[in-house]
Amino acid sequence: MTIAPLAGNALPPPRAGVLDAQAALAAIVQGRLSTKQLDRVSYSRDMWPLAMVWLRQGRVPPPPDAVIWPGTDDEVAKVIRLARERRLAVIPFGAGSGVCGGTVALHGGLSLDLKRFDGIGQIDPTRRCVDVGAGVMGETLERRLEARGWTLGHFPSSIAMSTVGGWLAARSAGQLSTRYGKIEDMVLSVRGVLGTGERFETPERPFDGPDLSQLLIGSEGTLCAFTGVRLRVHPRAEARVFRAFDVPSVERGLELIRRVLREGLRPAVVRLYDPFDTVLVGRQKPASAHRSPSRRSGFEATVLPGLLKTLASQTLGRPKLLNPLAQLAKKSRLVFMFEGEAKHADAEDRAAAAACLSMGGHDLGEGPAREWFHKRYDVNFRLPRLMESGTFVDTMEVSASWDVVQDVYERVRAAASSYALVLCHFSHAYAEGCSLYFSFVGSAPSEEAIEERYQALWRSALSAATSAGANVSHHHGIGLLKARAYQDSLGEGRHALATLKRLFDPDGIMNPGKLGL
Amino acid sequence: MKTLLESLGSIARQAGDGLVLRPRSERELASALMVLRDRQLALGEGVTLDRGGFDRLGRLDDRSMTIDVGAGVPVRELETRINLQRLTLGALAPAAWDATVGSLVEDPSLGFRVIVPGRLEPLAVRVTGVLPDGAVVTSSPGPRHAVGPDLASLLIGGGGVLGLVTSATLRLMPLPQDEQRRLYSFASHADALEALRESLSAGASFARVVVRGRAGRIIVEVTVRGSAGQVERELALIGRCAESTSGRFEGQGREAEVDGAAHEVTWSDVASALAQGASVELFRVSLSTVIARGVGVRTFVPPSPLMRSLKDVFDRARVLGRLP
Repeated sequence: MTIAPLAGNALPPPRAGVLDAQAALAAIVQGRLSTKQLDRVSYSRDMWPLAMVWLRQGRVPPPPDAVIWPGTDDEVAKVIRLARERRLAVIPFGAGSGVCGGTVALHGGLSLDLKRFDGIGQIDPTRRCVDVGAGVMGETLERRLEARGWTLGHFPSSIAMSTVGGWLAARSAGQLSTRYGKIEDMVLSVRGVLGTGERFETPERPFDGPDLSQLLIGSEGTLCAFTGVRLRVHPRAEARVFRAFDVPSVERGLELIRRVLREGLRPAVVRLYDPFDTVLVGRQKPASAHRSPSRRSGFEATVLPGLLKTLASQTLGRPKLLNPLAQLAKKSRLVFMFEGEAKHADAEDRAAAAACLSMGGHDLGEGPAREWFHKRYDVNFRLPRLMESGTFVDTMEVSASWDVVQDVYERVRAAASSYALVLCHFSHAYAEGCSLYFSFVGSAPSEEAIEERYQALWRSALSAATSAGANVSHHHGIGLLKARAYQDSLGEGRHALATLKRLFDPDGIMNPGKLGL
Repeated sequence: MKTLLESLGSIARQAGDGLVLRPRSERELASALMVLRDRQLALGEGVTLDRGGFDRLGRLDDRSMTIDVGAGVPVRELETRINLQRLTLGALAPAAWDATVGSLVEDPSLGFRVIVPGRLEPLAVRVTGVLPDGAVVTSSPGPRHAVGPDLASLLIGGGGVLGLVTSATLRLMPLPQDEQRRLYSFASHADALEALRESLSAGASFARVVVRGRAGRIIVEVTVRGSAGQVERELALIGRCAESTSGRFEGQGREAEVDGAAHEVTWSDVASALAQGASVELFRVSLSTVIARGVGVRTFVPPSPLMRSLKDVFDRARVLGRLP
């Protein structure tokens, strides 16, 4: 992969194949096509932290040759058919909130922005479903549903900067997934265009064969472009009940979650923070307004970044010294939120509290849980500031069954501790297991060393997770970042994936290089 | 040239005019499928697959409430074994108990359970199987994943047309401590069905529901199972949801049954049957669909073009049989 310098008009010009097809492509979408440098740079990456490191270094990942904005299924089909004829890569693009490099245009081509698919249909109150365009922004959808007395129940931390189509592409999970499920659990049928240029709409239950939606959801643009979806909705919760506990250890906290779920209770939110993360979550301050570099004073713009970089390198650059400090913290914070019909939510909260108290939990009341709820999206807005201070910040989310969760936690911590400060919380809980969400913060004396450390961290952490029995990803997807680990995990399943690719994208034009395809 | 029986080796035996295959490993099954493909033969056309050789009752993981089990194990036998550990497969539709694990997991309707709020999830959290080209596929570990297209869908609920299940890790739940029945009456079947859907959305689950007309009212009998606390909470919830749609509590209920075969239908199908005066018995009651007795069989829907394409590419030789 060639990373081009960002300065000046240094992007390589659009490929001849795209320029040759430009007029025909523009005619399909009534002129909504751009080959401007600014657009190509903007669509060259998602929120993959490594790409943010490159940007900090003044480099840009491989950009698309053009950005195109179709507005109908027919237009998408025509664009893909033409791209197929001319052998141009097509990269479906939502809002670019992915964190695994899933939209990097490795071979140039067309970035297919689907945000014009922004329709939200009427809610069917009997069937409890709604038709939604793939380009609808998450927050817009939820606000619109809530105004009508309904909810999708899907609240990813990227909700303000992600689209419904992006959720489908990478099997997104929201913070209330323990009750409402992940996005794939909410889908009744999906609509879109295959890499063959054929339009499709998957059938709804009852099925006579496999659930075809599930063979396309999660394909990260490598098989198709989604244009719409029919989603299950629920009446908006009448009440939300919050409660937090301190528990003596991660192990005890995990056991508590497991027992609460075994009892048949279904909290909308259950989150357990490891001791290090508990210290930080307990000290969270409201995110202050982020000022762009152009609005900062001379000190802030020139002197402070250098100081912060030195500081980061001297502290976060020495994780072997920092991570042992985690041993000083003992307590883990456990957060619950039940929601739904008021009396039922209360009854579930009381039952969960009784279980927690009987196992040594210390009831902190509703305060810490409410505080988490109010600040639940803040972390996203802190990332740019951390990145500016010369660090790298990334997260790794995997899931595992209850019998190995603790082992996965310990092995990943041990493996990653040489490269970064490691924190972890456990969320997205199921009767048979849960997700482990690791946060890594690291630094190094130089940008080159930072990138090396970042790559070594991921190799080590993913290998530790999978060898302990976890999967490669719970809800961030694969993209470029985890492509090799994903392919390794498939075994002979690689052949089945390749067969799907051959069927739905015979010319290999759809988002080439992602998922290792 | 070898005869078919010789090519298949020890896993095949003659039975009347046909052959029965009884592989004991994925590799044996894969080899047998290759032989059938080379000879342009298909399962179900003079060749029967007996998955009784996949009879392993593997590790029961009490913490995760799962068990590894071979596709040939009868579901009823499995249930008896896991009941000894105070676990169960849950409230399945009646036909599920007569299936083997393989046919249960492959069934598009039966191999799913209902979880709060009214959602369906596969009974198999993980599955291994053989595709028609002989590839052995094992799905991702963990309760949920974001690792590309769900390749397990080729097997789970696939009806055995794209691949054959050889083993699965099944989701279990605690053996219920309590079971309670309640009767409610409603002014209309629309109100009755809305109360059921409202209860599901709010977090209740039903082991079984019977809906029938009586003296101008629609009578709904619900059965709820679970821990003592769970049954108490859910019955209270169902009562409030019934009241909110003008339902009337009519007592503890009795065990009513409806004759006939059960199959998966939509709520709209149930409403149509009730409008025609039918009594219906519902199992695996989800917001999406239910498995019902007393509701007419749905009109045949031919496989979608997408499904036909999948069959063409995964089983071009039709070794697993043809689509309807």
